[in-house]
Amino acid sequence: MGWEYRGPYGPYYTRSRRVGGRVVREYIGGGELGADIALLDAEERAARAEKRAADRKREQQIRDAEDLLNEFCNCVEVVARATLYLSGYHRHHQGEWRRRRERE
Amino acid sequence: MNESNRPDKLARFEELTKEVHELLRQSNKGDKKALARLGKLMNQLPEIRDALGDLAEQAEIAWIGLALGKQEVAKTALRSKLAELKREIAGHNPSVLETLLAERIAACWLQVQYADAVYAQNLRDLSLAQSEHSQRRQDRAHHRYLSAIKCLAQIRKLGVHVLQVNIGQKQINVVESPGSQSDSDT
Repeated sequence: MGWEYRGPYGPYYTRSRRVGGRVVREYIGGGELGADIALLDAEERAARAEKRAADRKREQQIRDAEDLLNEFCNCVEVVARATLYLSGYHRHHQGEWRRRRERE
Repeated sequence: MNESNRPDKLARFEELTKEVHELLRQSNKGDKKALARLGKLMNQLPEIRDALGDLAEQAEIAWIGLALGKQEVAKTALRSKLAELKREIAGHNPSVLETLLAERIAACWLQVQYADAVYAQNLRDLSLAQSEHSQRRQDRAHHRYLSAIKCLAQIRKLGVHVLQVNIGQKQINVVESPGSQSDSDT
């Protein structure tokens, strides 16, 4: 996106976009019209960048909350397993909990 | 949360988890010392419960903040709903372990609600990749929630109780289950 000259003429405001894997430059216009559209495009780009940054921040917050919850769940799980073990149970082939047979 | 800025507390819980895992593994092989150490560790359950309670609270605050932002009234309402849910799940006169498991279920429920709401709200605006990402997050939340419920159901089905008895200044924790001998320590 930007301003370009065609020989002695210009500057003209243009946009680039991808069509079928190729980058195509689209002519928008020069003078006041070009300047107004360039301004609108810049605002749109800034808004998109702001939204991306906000999304990234939110994603990080979600990951942090998931980490906290994971850690809590893991701890409670091992405490529960240890309690079951101490109460005389064991996990049969990593599956259901069964009462342990006491060895002589 | 990356490794470098991980709070000390989380690192401590990771250590505890690893230690209990290792002790369980060794006890399973018949190591009596490991079993005794495991028993000692579990006798600190009320202290562990307090520390884990802090962790649960932090997780709750994080999820409530994500779900409701700065809507303070709604946040208060949700906190009171969560407290009620925990009481309901834990039941009358719950053991320390049941309280912990009820807290776990409530925290997981919160995450499920958040994941479902976010997915439903953004369904129309999501790209295919974003939609898949969101669904995976939902699936993980549901899986964690069901595991939490299953764990409490198992503890109740097997009738395992951890009682805390205070006699004078001494605190005695008793792990017992139907048909097993009580294992106590002061």
